[in-house]
Amino acid sequence: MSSNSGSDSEPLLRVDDLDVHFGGNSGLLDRLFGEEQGTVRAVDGVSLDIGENDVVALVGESGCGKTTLGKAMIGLERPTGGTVRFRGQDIWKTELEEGDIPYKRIRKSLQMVHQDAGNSLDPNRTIFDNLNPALKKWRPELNLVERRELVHRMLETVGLTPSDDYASRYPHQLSGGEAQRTVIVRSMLLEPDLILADEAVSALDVSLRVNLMDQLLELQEMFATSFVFISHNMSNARYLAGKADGRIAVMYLGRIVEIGPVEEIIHNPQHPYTKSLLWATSGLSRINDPIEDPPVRSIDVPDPENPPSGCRFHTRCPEAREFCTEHDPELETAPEWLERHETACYYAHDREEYWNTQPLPDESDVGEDADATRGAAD
Amino acid sequence: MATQNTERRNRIDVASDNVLEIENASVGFAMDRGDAQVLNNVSIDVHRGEVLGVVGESGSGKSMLADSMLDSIDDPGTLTGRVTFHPPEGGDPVVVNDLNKEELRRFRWERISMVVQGAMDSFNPTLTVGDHFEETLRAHDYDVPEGMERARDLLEDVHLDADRVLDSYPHQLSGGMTQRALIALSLILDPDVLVMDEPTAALDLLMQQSILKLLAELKAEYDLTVVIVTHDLSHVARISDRLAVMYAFELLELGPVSELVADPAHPYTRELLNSIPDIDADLDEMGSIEGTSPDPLNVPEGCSYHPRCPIAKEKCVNENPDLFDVPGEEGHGAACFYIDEARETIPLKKEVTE
Ligand code: SF4
Ligand code: SF4
Repeated sequence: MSSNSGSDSEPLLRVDDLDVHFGGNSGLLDRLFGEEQGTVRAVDGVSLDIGENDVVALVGESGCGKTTLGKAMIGLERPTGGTVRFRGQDIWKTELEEGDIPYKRIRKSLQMVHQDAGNSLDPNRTIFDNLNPALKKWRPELNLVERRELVHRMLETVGLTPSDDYASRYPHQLSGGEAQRTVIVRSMLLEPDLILADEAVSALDVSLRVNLMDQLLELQEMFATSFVFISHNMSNARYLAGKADGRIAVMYLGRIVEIGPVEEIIHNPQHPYTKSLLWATSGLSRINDPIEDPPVRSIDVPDPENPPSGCRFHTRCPEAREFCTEHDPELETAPEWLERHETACYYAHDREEYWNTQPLPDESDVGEDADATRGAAD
Repeated sequence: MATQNTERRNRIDVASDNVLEIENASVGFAMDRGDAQVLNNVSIDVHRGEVLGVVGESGSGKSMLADSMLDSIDDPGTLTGRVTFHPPEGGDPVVVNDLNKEELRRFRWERISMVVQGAMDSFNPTLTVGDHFEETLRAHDYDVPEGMERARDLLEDVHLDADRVLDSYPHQLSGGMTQRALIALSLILDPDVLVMDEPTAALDLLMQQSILKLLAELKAEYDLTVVIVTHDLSHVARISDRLAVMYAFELLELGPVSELVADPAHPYTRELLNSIPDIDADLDEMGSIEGTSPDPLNVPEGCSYHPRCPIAKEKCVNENPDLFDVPGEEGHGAACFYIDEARETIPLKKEVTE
């Protein structure tokens, strides 16, 4: 079996029916009697396996929960339901009780590169002194000379040459891209099994992005590390995950609505939401075509505190029918799709009950939908 | 420092009805480390009724060019050169950078409006969106009830529920909604030109693209001329009539969008196009441009692109190229001595379908 979750052998990381709900009342009584309004279900029942040497891009609009899911996967955000297992071991249980793999080891194996990478460097220390402490802590077997050697080798790998020069610089002497690469080096030095990179390239100038993505991929291959990339940009997601033969997972309001091999998601998307994200990523080859209308019934995302019933995309979906307002589709594959391609949509799966109901009216007078207050989840 | 000689040919002339003419615009800044030239002798005509896309990466001077159009360079920067506005109803041209403070205050919003990135910062958090419309109308002595009718129309045009949005405080709206409300506000006094500096950069792509689509509709409905400044060429190409490419505070290439994207003449533009992560292109065909954009205090002599240019020659190190006419469509110019060679030897990796 080779689905996206729940196959037999334990993968590197297994996310199972994961919830991360924020706010609202979380007292015992409320938990017993159901949550009140005000709760944001940033992640709501997500299952996903990450294998060894695997690359997955999580894509979606702000507020869809992709950053929260990523953080929960690497133990930086405590789930309110479900489990995250690292090589078979529940990472949150391990924090309390000892498992076979010590908690400290798991923490080191799961690393994150933040969006504002530059700010996570200590401005008063040189690049070497920024990188050295973590090495000292996590790789105590190395002496100073070996640590220095390793740092220099890594700086060179990501193009920060001459490495002598870069190692002795201060963070303010680096460009945005260089700071980003330094932070990537810092996380790679720990030889983690999984790195979560949150919008690692979108802050860079367009002409530098491919270069940084290539370096990330080179490191990924060199260290056989698994990567989860978070991005709002389909082109970047496709580049990163595509070159590594990985997958793209599309999130919408706390759920994965479509997942599959990269070229399959790009060239054979099934979920109407995935199609709308692709509409928004126009390639240069199409510049002579006029921009069509957005393939959504409303351009605003509903309030995550008050997500729509049934399929959460039904307030915007151009294919939505009455059936979708009451039923919540699950991720499923179809025989004619590529292996591991799954989507949660009645239209895509050609469900009879769906076709037997009326299409939802076109809301030409948009803004009628639920309050689109600022999302708290991302 | 790059050459500041005024004899250099820096404009491309085409017969056109210009709403705005920018001639030899330069902006200097005193920085801690010395004097910086952050816009260098740029001349460009904005045609009435067009969408002009101004494309450049960080440190290209593109925002300075936008600010120059409204003479709104922040202190201590100083603008030299001349910016002339031609009213649609005929009458005397207005030299924007000769206006006094009060004249300039009126000119902005009524003639040229500007929308910048991060709408949230453009709104006063203690006022409702409706208050902003009213204040703007009042400050320019417009009839408020009549103006508010227009405000409602504009808000509906950008797919907002006017009643709700007018009563809301900025923080009660999503980023995409505030940015659309700001666009509506910028059009409240029926300006002739809308200048937008990275108007959608902080938003999700679906929202960005939707806003561009709305913009194309607004432009047609309200007879607007639109200047959009952006770092992302692929993003604006589809709604622009012409593109201007900025690099190192200069204008490197200017031309009709279809030709500029199908067969650009400047090595930088060609490499920039090749470097854009593109959803339709082959994965193996994308690459980056080596090196980084120059520091404003240390712009290379000669052609400012020469340290990164794959076909640079001796001449490029010493002389700053004019903006030469490019063979092909009228009004296409590029600041490069070796246009033919660039087109022959720097292959484009993506094909544009006609
Ligand atoms: S289930 Fe219905 S509403 Fe949801 S994406 Fe499919 S068609 Fe649209
Ligand atoms: S003038 Fe010379 S250096 Fe400049 S872009 Fe042309 S060939 Fe390259």
